[in-house]
Amino acid sequence: MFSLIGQLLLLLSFVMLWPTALYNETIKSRAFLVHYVALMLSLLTLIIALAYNDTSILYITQHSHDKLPISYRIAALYGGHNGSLLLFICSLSTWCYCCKYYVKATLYKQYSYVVSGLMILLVIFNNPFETISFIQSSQGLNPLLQDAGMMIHPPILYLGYVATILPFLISLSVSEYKVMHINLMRIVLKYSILILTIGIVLGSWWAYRVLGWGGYWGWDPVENASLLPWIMQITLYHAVISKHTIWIRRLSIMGFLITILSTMLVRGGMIASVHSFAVNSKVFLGFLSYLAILVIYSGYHYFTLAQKTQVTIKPMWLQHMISLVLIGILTLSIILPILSETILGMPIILEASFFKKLIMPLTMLMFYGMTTYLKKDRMSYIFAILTTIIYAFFTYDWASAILIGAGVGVLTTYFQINTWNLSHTSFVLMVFCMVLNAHQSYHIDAVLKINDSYSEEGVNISLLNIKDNITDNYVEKQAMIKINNTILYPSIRYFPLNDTATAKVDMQLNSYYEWYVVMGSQLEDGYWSIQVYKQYWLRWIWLFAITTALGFFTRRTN
Amino acid sequence: MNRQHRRKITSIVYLSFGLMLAAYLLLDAISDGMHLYQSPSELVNTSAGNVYIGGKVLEGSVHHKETQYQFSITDGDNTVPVIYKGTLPVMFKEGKDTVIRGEMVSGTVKAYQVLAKHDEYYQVEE
Repeated sequence: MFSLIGQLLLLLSFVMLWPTALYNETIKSRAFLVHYVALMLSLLTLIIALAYNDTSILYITQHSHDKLPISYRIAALYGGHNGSLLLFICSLSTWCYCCKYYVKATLYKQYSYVVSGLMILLVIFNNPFETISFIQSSQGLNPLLQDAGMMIHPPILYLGYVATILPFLISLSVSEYKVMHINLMRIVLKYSILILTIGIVLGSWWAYRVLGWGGYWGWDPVENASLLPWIMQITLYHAVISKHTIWIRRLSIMGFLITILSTMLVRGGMIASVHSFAVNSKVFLGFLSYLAILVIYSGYHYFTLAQKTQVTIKPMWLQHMISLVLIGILTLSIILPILSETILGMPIILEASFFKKLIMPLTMLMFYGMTTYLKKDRMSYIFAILTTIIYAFFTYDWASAILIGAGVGVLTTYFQINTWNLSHTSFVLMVFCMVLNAHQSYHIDAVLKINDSYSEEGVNISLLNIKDNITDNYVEKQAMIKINNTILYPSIRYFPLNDTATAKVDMQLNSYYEWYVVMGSQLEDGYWSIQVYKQYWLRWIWLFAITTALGFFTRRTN
Repeated sequence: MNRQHRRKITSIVYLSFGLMLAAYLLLDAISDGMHLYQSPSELVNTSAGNVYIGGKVLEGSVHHKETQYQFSITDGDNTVPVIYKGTLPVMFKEGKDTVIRGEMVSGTVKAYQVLAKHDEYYQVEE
């Protein structure tokens, strides 16, 4: 029954796109309203069906299970491709719905064109309401996704991802930006940057706690893909506050294309990760053709509209160039391994050092750019050089030392003029925390029996006890480990439903460092391998990332 | 040579200097951080150098002594022995895919990083 209701609502919502594109203003806005409500109701139907665990729907059989608690059953909404595409479209329309009063005249036509493509993909290739055609055992949700972070990370990230739809639609439909458009873009962007930052931080927090490799950022293709819209939106924000209309148009069109590209790369099943769902190549080709049509369509509009614009203001060249180079590097880093796998048969691996070596000089340029609009005096240069020398003296790492020095230069300049740009300041501090984290953090491997202990670098690790816990969903072996004077309880969980084991880490937080313990596998003769990490400044990185985004809400003085 | 010429020349010098620096940084990053995976069959005849192997862990080949592990990687045709000191990831299993970074020393790979490839990543089979 849920399947039928859901399908009908989706269909209604799709059909309503037609009058949204064609008729007069009143009909347009009513049709849009019906479209939006039907879409949201179909999402609600899927959520209710998931909560009731309606196993006649294929998607639910594949991604949920009646043994799961209700919160994870609902989280299965974005545990697979079809449901997450529906959520993607819903969050996209939600942005448009929220702003419909401001951009009434311009929005609807382009909106219906853009969204109809996505809806076709949803209904034809990825219908989440497809009924089951043969009996299949329930597969349940990926154990790695059974986590509190998973409950909120995907919807928040999606909401942040798709906000570029508004600047995109505005740029496609108006030949000249009005003050209203510029203001709307600024407001939308500051909210979406905050949402996106929270989403990325949540993802990083989830990976840190759940994947158990002891780091906050792995330069994984999926993580890089989530950075693309983030960089794009920040760049667009700078173009918007500089009011350079040509760059606003360029960047807002690129912004949405990049969003679709990164969604396609992440969700299209080309990158094997926790985010891709082994979808068939039809889905990928569908997305690819949608993107191709979108590129041609928006390219045509760009060239017809851009000819009419004239500006006399200087654009923020440096900011835009750094961002475009960053986006180029990150996009290539996602695409190259896929290409080399299809052409050479073996994928290229890009290590963290590749990204670090490219991004550190770009960050230095960014730091330079953060002071170009201010008057610099000799003091800031002296401070920068002094810090560089002192830092290099202690660590022998010149690249990091120059980065730290440049950051100190920025902060001294702000101090001298007493204009603290919250975003810039927090960004500099975030980079400091990242560099310090990379230098100070370390880890220790130990192999221990019960009541054994092991010492390295002044850290004493002892395994006190191992306990068995059994729940509906998993079987757990929980260790009691003493590090110096604190006791931690990491565990291994085995999920019989999925035949997968995951490591549940335990952490001991302190003001600027934390202990992080992962239990490894059991070795044959009663030994357990245990990894202990000491991470510095990690929570501060996340905190400063959030304050960077919050800085977009502060009123600018100059 | 007037002022305009001089300005043009300095900007060209700066630009080419910047481009050279950028090219150097790019090449340096690529040579350091970009590698091609190899399969055990491609490595049978190499005896030295850094390696990045992807393959399956041979069934019944995993042994350990304290924190030192010994196992073999196979791609069906050939196998390569691996020595690793450290903790193996939880998802590391015999018969499953793995990725090894290490150094080839007289026919044996001394690994410094072992990853369980896509194993923690669960996929719904259709």
